[in-house]
Amino acid sequence: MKRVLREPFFKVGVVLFGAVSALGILALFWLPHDPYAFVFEPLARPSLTHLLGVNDAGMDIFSELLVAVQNTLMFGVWVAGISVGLGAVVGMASGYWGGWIDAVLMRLCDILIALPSVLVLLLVASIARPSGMELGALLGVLSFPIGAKVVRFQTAHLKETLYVEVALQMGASGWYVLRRHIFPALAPLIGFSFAGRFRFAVMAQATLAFLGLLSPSEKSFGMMIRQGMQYYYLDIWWHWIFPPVVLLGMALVGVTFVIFSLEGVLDGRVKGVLRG
Amino acid sequence: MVEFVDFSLFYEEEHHRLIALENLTCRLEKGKITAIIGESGAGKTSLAKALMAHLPSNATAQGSLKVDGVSWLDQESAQQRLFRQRHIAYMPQGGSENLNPLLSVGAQLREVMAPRFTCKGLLESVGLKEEVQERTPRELSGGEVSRVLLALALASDAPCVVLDEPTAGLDETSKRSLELLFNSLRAQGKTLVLITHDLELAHRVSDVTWVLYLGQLLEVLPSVELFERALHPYTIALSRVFPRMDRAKDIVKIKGEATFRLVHRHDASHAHTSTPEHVHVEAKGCVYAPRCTQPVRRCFEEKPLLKGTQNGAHACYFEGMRPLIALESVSFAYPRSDALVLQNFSLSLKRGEIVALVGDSGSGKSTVAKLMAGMLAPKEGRVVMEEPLRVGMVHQHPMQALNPRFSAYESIAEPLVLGRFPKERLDARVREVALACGLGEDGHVLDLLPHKLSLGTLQRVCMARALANYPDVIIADEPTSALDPSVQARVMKTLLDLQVETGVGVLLITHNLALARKIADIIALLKNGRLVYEGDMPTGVGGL
Repeated sequence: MKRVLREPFFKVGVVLFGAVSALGILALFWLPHDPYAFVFEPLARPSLTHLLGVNDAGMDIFSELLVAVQNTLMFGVWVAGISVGLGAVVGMASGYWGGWIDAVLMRLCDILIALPSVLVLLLVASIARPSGMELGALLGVLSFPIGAKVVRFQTAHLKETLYVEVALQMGASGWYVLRRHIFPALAPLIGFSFAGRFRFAVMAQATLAFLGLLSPSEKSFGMMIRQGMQYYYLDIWWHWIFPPVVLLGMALVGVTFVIFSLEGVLDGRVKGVLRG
Repeated sequence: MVEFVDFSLFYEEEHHRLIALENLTCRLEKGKITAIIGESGAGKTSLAKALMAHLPSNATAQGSLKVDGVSWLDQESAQQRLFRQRHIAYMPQGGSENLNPLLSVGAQLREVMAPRFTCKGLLESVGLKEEVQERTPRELSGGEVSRVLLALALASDAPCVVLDEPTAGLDETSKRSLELLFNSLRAQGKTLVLITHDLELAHRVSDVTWVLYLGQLLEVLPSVELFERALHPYTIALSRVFPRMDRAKDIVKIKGEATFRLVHRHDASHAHTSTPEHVHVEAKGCVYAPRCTQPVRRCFEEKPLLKGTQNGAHACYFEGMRPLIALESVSFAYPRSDALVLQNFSLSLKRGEIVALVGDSGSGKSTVAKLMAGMLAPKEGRVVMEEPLRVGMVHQHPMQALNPRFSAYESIAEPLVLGRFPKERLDARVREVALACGLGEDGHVLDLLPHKLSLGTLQRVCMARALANYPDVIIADEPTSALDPSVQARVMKTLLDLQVETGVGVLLITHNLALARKIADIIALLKNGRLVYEGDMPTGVGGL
């Protein structure tokens, strides 16, 4: 762990991602204005009351940005949680018990992998008009199979280790083996998948919102950029478009750096997972 | 001719009575040598004293002891004394302190000699020269003293001679020549009672062996079967205690200690009138049960009676050590393969026994282990197991057998957690078994993960894990393969000590024949899936 702390990538990543998260936490307690109130002078320039000015509908951009940070982080955790959680459960069940359970679950995964997930999302978003969280759940379900396959492979491998054989011979149940022997060994892998899936979800949300597939009432980076782009001919880019782009970038780069540095340090442990 | 029927002997002390012999029902066979063995305090000397009718004043006897149909311990009379003198003679334990230091040997012989003997004849019959009769005891060597004592015992021409530790303290040569004398006495039709600690002597010289423990007769068996086919756990334990020339295995102690059996009186004032109604009957259950390694509840509640077997008798509910796992003419082949890994293979593992399975790589040793552990099922034949059976396995490669994310403590605790061991005693048990396996000196070893521990330590962690939840069987596959001889010795000692305490049956799989001979009771030699030898392997076999 100490080695991780000395990694420059890790430091930078934590600072970047920490700064974004801090804004999100700040929004929990304090907002300069109601971000949903369209009562201000439209397209007002930045001032002390409106740090980043006001948008075309008369909403305070800074308040909108803070809520967008919050929504983005929640969306990321939500999607990554569903995707990685499902992947771990399906993968462990499939890898541990094998047989028909494995056959059924893996064919299901194959079907999901085969589906063009972007098209499905576009289709569902345009026809059903789901909320952001509902779309996030769909995204999670569509993206779990790859993780499930990795977990399944690792589980099947760990199941064959001598120490699991010993535990079974001593009377351990399958549940016990999964809980005590297999899950802890998979934990680093699951942690990485979570971070990766989080990054993917944040990017996906920005994309979907930019394409206008998310409800305009739900603040997000993508939606703010999309709105600002309509007025690109005005001199608004630096206080309307630039801030969400920068924060999105900081979040993505921050998570990437953390994953990158942990990969380097925990390499042995991850390989240990592979070898059992 | 000498017959005990429900014979008991007590020594009355001020507040209690000490049980020296209890409910002895047995008969001495005429013209044979009967050895009486047992630890100190078993009642051997009391038995000898009863045969001599030479009991201390505080002794009380119950039941009957008859010699040629005559009640032996009736009150003293000159006639009675003469009768005894004619029937039973005694060679006392010890050396020249039994002789009068002032009288010559000849004078002492003449005191007791039957009319038909001469000093010369008697001395020659015990292998001494005639001139010895002129010497006083302090002019005799130890061996000569023994012979003189024997001559004295023979002098009365009694048909039965009680020999109390006749060879104690003698060198091997004197011992052997005394043994020859005993044989010739038997050939003359004498009945000999040989009281001894020396199991090998009993085995070599006597015809029948009686095994006494805390005043009770636990087993009667032909002496030739003493080391090989004894049935009572105590006899088996005694045979393992005794060092033998033809045995490579180390001596093993018996757990616990024999104690005197006392019965406290309700009322001390009844000291001389006390009858059995006035005493506690403490002997509920088998006297050996507290030290036995395979007792069941019944052993503590109900005393097993001496019952006859094929050619002896024993007082135990079981015929010898209880079998734990037996493979009966098992054949085995791995799936999708026709080649038989094992062919018509039989091997049984009994409680308190160490069976070493020796053989080359690929001879099927690990398959036997897996069959015994129930991890594989045989293709033909049967695997018979005592139920329920807890098996502890020690694997060859500790690095793989231990979860790299478990501290040593967690690994050792695992069988306890899985066995629903009471939580409040779990910690104490883990530390106890770790200590027993040599992991205790430095408490923090238990908190370390496997990659911080040496291979030797890991192997001991595996051993501790296998032993933690009081297994009935330990199957150890090359448990010391990675250890240097010093650590190997330590791990093996731990195993042996725990076996003494718990009577666990051990299947030891090893390439190391020297180690196997040192610790195993039975060595099974496996070659190409067949059992080619099974026994205690006194010397090397088959070029090994």
